[in-house]
Amino acid sequence: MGVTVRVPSALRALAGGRAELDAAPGPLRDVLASIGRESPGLVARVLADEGTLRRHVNVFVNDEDVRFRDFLDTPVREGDRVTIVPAIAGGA
Amino acid sequence: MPTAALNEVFAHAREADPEECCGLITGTHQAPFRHVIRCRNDMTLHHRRDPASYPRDGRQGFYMNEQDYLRAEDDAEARGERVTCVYHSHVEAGAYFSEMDQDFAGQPLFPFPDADHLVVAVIGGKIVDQALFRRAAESFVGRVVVHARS
Repeated sequence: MGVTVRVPSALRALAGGRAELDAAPGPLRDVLASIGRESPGLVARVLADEGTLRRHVNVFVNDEDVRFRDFLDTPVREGDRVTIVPAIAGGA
Repeated sequence: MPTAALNEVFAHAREADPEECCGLITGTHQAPFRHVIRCRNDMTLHHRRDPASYPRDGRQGFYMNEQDYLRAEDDAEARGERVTCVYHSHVEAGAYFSEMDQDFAGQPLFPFPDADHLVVAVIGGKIVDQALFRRAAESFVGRVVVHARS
């Protein structure tokens, strides 16, 4: 059992139509890099050019928002579930 | 939009004041505004943790709790419904679709690209206006909200 990455509906076309991808455990940065090799273009929508998370996207490891952990250095372990979640926000 | 649904949104907006409220409305093609689902506004939480990245707090912005909206989406799907509207309130400001609203709603990964956007204005603790916005090509067009008895 490795790591499961849940792909939001807006990105599934870039993942061959798949809702979930498999990856090896490691720092989140490496997990995203590995699915990026398999699905070019997908990770480009999640990470900005400087390698940080894009403003409109959040990532959860299981139920933990990585912004409250170690961002892209957050460890992802065997059996963990990574969810890419677009942000819904706004204001006056 | 059914009066009952609007009243639920208004109640949420009044209770959340002085912070903005946010939530989703789900329904079917035949009945697009059936269920109003409140979601938590995490903007103040993010502002306190990282004020540089999140300069606004919940009084000037909303950041929908991700677990709440994912659960709402899953529950809607289980009922044979979809998210038809994203709502939020403005406090001490009008019912317009702001630049920030449009920025997030227009981004390529926005999870509900076909949903309408309902903005409710709360001024002095009272609901003073509401407006619905619908995507039209690259922009959003405002429409008058017509109450209908549910």
